[in-house]
Amino acid sequence: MSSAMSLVVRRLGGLLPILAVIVIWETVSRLGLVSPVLLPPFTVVMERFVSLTASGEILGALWVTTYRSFLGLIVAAVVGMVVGLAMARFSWARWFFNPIVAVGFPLPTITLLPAFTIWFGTGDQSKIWLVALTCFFPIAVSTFEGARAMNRQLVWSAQSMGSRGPSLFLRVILPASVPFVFSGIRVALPLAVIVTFVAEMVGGGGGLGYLLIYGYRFLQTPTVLAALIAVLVFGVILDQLLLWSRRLLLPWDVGEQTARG
Amino acid sequence: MTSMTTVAPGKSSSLSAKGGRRAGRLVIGVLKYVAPLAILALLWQSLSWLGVLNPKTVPSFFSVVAAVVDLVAEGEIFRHLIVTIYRAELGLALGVVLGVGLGLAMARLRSVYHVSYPLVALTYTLPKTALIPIVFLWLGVGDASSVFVVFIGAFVPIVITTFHGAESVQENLVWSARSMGASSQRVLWTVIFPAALPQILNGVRIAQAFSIVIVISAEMVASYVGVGRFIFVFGEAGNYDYMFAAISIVIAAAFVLDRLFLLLKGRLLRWAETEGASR
Amino acid sequence: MSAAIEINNVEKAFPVKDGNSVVALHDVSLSVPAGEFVSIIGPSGCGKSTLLYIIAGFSSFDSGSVSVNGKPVTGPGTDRGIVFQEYALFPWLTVLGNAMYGLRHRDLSKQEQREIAQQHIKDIGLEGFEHRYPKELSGGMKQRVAIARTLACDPDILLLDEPFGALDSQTREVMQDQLLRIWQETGKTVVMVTHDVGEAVFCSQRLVVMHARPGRVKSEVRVDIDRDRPREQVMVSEEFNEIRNDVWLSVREEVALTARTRR
Repeated sequence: MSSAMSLVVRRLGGLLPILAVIVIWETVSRLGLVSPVLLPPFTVVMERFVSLTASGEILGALWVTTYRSFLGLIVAAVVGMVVGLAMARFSWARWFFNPIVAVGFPLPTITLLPAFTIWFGTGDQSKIWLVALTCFFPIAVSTFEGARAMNRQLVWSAQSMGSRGPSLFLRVILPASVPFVFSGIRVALPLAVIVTFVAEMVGGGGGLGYLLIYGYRFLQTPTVLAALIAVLVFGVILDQLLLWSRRLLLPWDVGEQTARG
Repeated sequence: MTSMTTVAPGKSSSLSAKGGRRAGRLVIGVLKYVAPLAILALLWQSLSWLGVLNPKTVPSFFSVVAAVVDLVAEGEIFRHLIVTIYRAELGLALGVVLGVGLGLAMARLRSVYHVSYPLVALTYTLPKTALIPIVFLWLGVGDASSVFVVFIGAFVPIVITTFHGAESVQENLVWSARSMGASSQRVLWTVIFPAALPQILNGVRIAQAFSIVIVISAEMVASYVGVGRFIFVFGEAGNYDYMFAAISIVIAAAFVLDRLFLLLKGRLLRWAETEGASR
Repeated sequence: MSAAIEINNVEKAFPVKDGNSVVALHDVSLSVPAGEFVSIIGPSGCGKSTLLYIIAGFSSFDSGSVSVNGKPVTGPGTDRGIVFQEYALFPWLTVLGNAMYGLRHRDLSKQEQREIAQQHIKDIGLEGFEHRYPKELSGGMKQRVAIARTLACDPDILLLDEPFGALDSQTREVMQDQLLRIWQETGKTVVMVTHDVGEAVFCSQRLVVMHARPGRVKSEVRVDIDRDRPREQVMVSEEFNEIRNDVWLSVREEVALTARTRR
């Protein structure tokens, strides 16, 4: 078998278990083995999915959720990178942020959701800021540890070639730190997503999370499941976005991995 | 014969003086460490006094502290905390046991890998909190649904980290064991599992943090007990100082849990070479 | 352009976990006239890399003096170029980018910088690879880029820390020939740290053998072999092998010593 053929076969083979699950799902539901209220047939769910897409509801919700989590992530990346680098460079920054990061890193920021809803309302703002706060910590930590562990021979080589202070920082330390920012983002991404969803489920204001809760509260199982499929799509999209931006910004980097790791 | 020349530091005095000095240094060290947090708290309180922060939406630091004392004294929060932690840890334990099992199986048996990997990869991108509504539809409101979502939330990443950890065990280790007569089973439990343990435990630590988040989220959506609900109720009623107090207590509990986990990890991995990534 | 190095009675100790310290270098003195190629050789732990880093200005020392052309060393500088064993190339820059790096600090236009860098890249035989990233290169190629990068800054002194240690033996031989050629063409002062006795004897005019624990100078050996002959003739010649064997035995003595006193 040619290599192209075997690749196709392998990809299709990967789909088999998924197809099997779908077939089982459809059968179990149709046969009434499980109440169709709890588990509507796959085809019914797909029907609902299509109608929701046609009405634009799913796309609208998908867009809202995506841009909220992405925006929050970007804010966290910028601030996290700055703080992480500052911590690596200045001992006072290390002193100041160490306890803050130690407390904040394992902090379930979701507990602050009610507070953020009070302060920023039920719209985009509360979600974006909550995501930013949540993702800040892993990104700052990753940047700091990466910058600190940076190969000192790179710094020494640069110094031997005449680089000092700001020039050294901009030309060597900054580019060498970017991969670590990305690995921090990789850790932060699932957090961003989780937080956005919960914020939308509890705090309202549109988005896929809201769609899910809406379906739940009105006992419309097909809607909930259709929304879940949209969520899967969303996850894949975000993953790819991260991969592409990494390829764009770090073409020179050796360690390329998907967000899945 | 030349030997390693060592230079000793300045002479030390009596034992008790040394002990007292060490304790003193410890206290100062802790104070220095916590100082930034104290500064932030001071800043917060000053802003409240100055009236910059609207007392209706942002309670002052002191009022929150007072509320914390009250909550702790009253004790009801602990009832909720126990429920939340119980749900989170139970789900986590199930996820770890089954996740490690599947992960190892996937690493050892190609057939298991081919069947499971596509499904696991698919669900990995799914934020587990999105499952809360559907699980609540199926299992109703209560412990079972929270535990189940936590279980899924822990299961998937642990399968993946275990699998990767087991996969990346150096062949040499396995071959050495084999040539010393170990059976496949023995190799799995005495070589592959310990070698993959650092990665597995990293996955568990992350899953642990996620499980708290998942339970609290589920409780905020729909529950009768648990800290998520507890916090939410205060928010709804407008008791923001108590709400923040409850949040602080939960955060403190989560911090303690994380530190406990790090201790456990340290004990289990006494033998591992330090390779950074202490978080 | 080259420079002379004067090292006098240098002491260096490293603090160790329990408050004690380990003496890395004890009363080390060395005089390197301008334009000489000298190798520092010895067992592991003899402080040879530490000594090199002190000359380069990366490491401090506790007492004694280190000066280059009469001026004391206070930190890294463009007069002392460094080449590391692990290349230390900037992974985010291409071959050309790496080679051009140090040129920015000179008064040259972008065009001039590029030309100089490209000339050096051509000299080490990597013409055509200017736009590749380090990750696409083999070990030998990476090391050549590292050397080109350092040479582009035109330092008076070339410091090499086990430069070919990470390469396979065939590549190593090719690189040694190139290094020798570069030295002969530029006349720079070269200080090379290596654990390969044959390499040291082949390339240098003088060898400094060091004791370990603490690091001290044991002996200095002059190498007066005719290097105008091809490598094959040099390697089998009697004079080469005599010196090589003597030095090797001397180093081996040190290795055995450190093995015995290891705690």
